[in-house]
Amino acid sequence: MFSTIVPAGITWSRRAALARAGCGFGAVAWAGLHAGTAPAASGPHLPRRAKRMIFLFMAGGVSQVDSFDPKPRLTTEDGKQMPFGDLRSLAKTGKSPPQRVMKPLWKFSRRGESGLWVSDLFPEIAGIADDLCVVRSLHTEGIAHGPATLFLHCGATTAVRPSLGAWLDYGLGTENTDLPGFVSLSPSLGNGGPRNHGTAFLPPIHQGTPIGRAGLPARESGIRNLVSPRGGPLAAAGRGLLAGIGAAQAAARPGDAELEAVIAAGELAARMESVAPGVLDPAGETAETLALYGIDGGPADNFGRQCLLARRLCEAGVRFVQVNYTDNSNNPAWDQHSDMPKHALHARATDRPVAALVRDLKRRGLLDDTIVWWGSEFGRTPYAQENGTGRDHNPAGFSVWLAGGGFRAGHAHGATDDFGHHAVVDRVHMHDLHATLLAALGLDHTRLTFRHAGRDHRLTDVAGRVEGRLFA
Amino acid sequence: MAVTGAWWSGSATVAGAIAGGVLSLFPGSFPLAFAAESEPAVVDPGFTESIAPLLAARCLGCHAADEEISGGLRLDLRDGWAQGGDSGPAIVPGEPEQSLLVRAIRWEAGAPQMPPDGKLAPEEIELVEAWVRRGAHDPRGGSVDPRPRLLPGQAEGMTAAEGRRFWSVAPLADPTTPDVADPTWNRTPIDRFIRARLDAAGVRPQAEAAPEVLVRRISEDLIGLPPTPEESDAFVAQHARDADGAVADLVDHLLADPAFGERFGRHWLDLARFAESSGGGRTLLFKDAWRYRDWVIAAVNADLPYDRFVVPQLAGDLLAAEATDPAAVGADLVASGFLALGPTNYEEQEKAQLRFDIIDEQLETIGRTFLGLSIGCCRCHDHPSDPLSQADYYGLAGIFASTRTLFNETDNVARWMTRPLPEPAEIASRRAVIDARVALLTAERTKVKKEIADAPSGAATATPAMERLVEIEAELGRLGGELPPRPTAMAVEDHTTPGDTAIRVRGVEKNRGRVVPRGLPEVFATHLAIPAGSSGRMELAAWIGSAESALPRRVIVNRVWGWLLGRGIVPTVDNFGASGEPPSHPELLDWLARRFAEQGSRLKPLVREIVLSRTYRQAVAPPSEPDRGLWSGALRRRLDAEQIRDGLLAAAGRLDRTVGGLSIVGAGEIDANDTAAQTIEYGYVFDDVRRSVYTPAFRNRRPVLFEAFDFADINASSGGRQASTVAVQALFLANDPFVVEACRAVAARVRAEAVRDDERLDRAFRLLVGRQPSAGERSAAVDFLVRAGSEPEAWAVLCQSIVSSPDFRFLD
Repeated sequence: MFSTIVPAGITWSRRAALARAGCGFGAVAWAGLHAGTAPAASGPHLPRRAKRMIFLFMAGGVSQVDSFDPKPRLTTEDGKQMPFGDLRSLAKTGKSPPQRVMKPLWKFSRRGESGLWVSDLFPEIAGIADDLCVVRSLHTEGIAHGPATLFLHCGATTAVRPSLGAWLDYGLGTENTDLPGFVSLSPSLGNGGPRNHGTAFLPPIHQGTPIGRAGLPARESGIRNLVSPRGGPLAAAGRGLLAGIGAAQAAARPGDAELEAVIAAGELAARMESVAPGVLDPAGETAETLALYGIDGGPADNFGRQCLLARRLCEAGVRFVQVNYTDNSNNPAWDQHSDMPKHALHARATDRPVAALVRDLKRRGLLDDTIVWWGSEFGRTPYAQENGTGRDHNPAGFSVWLAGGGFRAGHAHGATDDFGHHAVVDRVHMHDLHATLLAALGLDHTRLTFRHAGRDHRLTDVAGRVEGRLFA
Repeated sequence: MAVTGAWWSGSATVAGAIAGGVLSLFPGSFPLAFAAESEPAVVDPGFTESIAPLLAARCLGCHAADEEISGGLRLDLRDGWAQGGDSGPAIVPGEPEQSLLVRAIRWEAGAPQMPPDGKLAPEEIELVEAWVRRGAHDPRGGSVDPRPRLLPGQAEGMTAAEGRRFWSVAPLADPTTPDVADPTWNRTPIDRFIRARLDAAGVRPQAEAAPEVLVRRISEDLIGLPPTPEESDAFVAQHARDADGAVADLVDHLLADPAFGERFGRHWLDLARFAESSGGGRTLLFKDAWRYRDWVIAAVNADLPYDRFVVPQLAGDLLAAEATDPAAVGADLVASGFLALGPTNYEEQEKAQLRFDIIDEQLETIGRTFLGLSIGCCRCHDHPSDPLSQADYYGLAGIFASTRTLFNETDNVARWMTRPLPEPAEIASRRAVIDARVALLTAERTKVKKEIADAPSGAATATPAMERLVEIEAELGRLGGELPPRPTAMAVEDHTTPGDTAIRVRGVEKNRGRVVPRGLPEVFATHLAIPAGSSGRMELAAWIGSAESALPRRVIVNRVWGWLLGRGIVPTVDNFGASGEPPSHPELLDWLARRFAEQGSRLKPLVREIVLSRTYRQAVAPPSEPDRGLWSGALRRRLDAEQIRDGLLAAAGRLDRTVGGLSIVGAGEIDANDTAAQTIEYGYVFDDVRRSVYTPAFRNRRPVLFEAFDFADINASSGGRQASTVAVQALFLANDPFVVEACRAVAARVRAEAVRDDERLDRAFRLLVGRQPSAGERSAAVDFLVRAGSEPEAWAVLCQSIVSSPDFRFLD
């Protein structure tokens, strides 16, 4: 078995790893493609509830008081100046002027058999309410997008740490042989950019593979360098030539595992070239499925394609797919500082695809062991920013939801205060959410460690608590 | 205390408890523990009836012995809250408004929100407030462990005294070069140290590598580029006559090549976490960072002694203040940019936290780079394994807390410091004249504008004042364009009021502990004499650079050894602590450190000494011979990302060897805080053909090749590259337009430079892997040419197949 501990410093040679592994080059080359040289020491630590996860990242901060956390007092006190402790003002000046209460812009109703509250902002998601486990008492670190986005993905606002997906790939390895284990669809270059799917000090093989990038239409997005610039007989002859040269070089150094690993990686790349385009291409999907996701040239078309691709990647054995609804700006998508009604624009783009993904996974029998996680880096304030028509960032209390993967369906956990500002009952810190997600996937967040710079690091640093009440 | 015990009736319960015992917690029947003191304890019945059950139900899950003791605060003893945790005493008896515990349960701004799993009911909060107001009577005794362990079972690290005897910190030994049985094998004293160990282990060294292998190895190691076939031929011919002379001449030639500075400078830039944008949250363009990069390359090429290389990077601004030569002033200021290059989150809203995060990043980088120690651990607690305490950390932190790295730090998005650079006298005097004129005009403009504003309404539309304003604006506009913007550098400066800083308990910025004097960690047993009014950076830098400082000397010579041989004598090149690996050849390490000092602490003689050694010149051992860590052969290594890119461009005849200068297109004219600066990073097209060290080093956007081939983490100091084997590398070499185009250019060159197919084949292999094709490779290539024809595109495919083959990426 591989050790999970790689000595601090440098892996100068894979030979040492091979010697420790006690297995032939095949296993290492195999791992080298995506799973990596250092899979978890002994498989999952805990009973697994889920095998894979899709994270629907709503960048910028969806307002909890306009979506999943109804607060009648916001309506009854609408317009009043009240003494909220505004976190941004406090962080910068230590003082907080009174703020104007702002009522929700969308009407809340009880939905489904569970009676879960969802507002009219998300009519389609409202239709899957009975599948959702809404956490209304999440709180996190970071008041600005950069720090909070990094905290969401890496569990640290500033320190350079591996991303959640990299930890998963490191801890669980991959389930397939032709595709990476961790994919991020259309990630942003901003607010931490590649660090949000990076490995930091974990071995580079656990790096998330981006498909497309923010701003590039989903239909034009692909895995880099997947398509050969040449086709036909010349390309075929070239593959034969490379095999011949490789064989000659291997014959000159019999038993050189590193050299053989390079050859095997090349063979795997060739398999990716043949398999991945089929996974990325939705041509085989029915008209009904395309319509379900809103892939019709309308406002939901782009995110619909991303959500559909997430399902296809999961079916092909990708462990963790992050679907990004974002852009490259400093104030991404849902960041409505001055214009709350604009939330409707983003809802139109995402509501149908998100609900479709959950429905589609469910009817295919995949929802039981797939976690769908929907959420932002933080929520929004219950009061108007600078007495205007928008809301500022609020890391102190906000909502995310989880569906499938053994989470408790049709359930709302925890509560914020009367105004939806601070999480107050059964609070769940972002570290706790990370610990809980890892636990659902069979990993103990206190044992998923990697030694770097003289100490063992964790996704949850020295914090985190599994919130077992979220499980069914 | 004036309260009497007349109304107290809890004696039965109290009498049954044992002083100092741990409470078992049953709300309603609360067994109390109290100190066996002479005075009878006095208890407010409110405590037993309401406060104790409340504590038990809502607080003691985290704030009691046998738990992790969150924040260091115990609430199961009177002394627990009286002494308090990380944030100081939790309760001030009689003063609820000054009691942190009360503020915390009210969830007041600026206080922790307790309990974290849900606020107490208002009536419960009132109970606590009333109890505190009445004097917070608490009968529970027992004493708090004065030094609670942070984590249960955590090992104690080394003491400073033990640390001084640890191999990496102990004074440099003065080892004698060992005698060996076969002195003819030796070329430099290094070989005696290596051979003695090999002989003792009964292991024979490898023979000298074949000359065409050796010339490729030395060239890649020293300048990061392959030799041309002609350079290779010349070396092979000389080597046949005089092997030692050929190696010596080649090394001297390459050390004099500016490309040596580009190669070894790149190693240093990895350590300096060099980048041209901040990355992190809102990435900002470091448009002046290239000057630091160029300073490093120039310093390596000039072969500055190590102290003169180290001091400017840590205290160049202080040197500049003393210097008179404008060139020296500029160079020193630029070098101090080392401290400002970190991946800082300039939009962090808690500005005290931001300042501290920067200090922490500087300490971590300095620790790893110069000392091979992870000092960062001690931000929160004493080092678990190394002889470093939290006080040591804050002694160093005070030096950097006395240094200004941030500019406009209270802005929503803060900025790093920039300092103007000296200009040639002629430009400087013109600028002075212009600046004076601009100041004059600006003042006049203010006056004229006021005149216009104060004029009674209805005055003539074109008053003399308005005409004058137009003239002023026109002249200001013209003056603004007369000279290019004043060149600036990322630099730091000493704070106007430097001083010591306080320990931050558990690393939390707001939790101030005792103030510790600035200075070196105790383990180094050296007092820094920091003059009043100075930060202490100069004194710290001088100590790090000094030949008398054993640890930093061992670290740097080990790095040079590792850069040349593929593994350090201490394999964990960035970790010289107890959790790192010990040196395989401790005597050699110390001998090298002493030798380094004898030769002026210069890099080039050290490199020469190592490369001329038999040890370095050995062939790679066959896979059947295990590596025992004794240097019984050279290690087979990978080319790094830059060598792959630069080598391909060189083979294609396209490499632009221009040295230095700003290389980010469009960055010269832009303000770094402008959002357009991000557009430059996000939209950047990496299409230059300069050496990779000059490729824009954005943190949020890396060239595909660098990502695929394990470029160092651009966010942290790193002394070595990983070597992964992943499918994306194969996909890159097979399909990336950069490789495809480069291989077409190599093919065109091969076809132009040779006529017959077998000659072209030889040429292609020599350009790309530095050797003739083997019989097996030749036969595969001939088969291919028969099937694919000898058209240009077939040759491009052939060249690309060589590039995709394992040997292209390995260095023997």
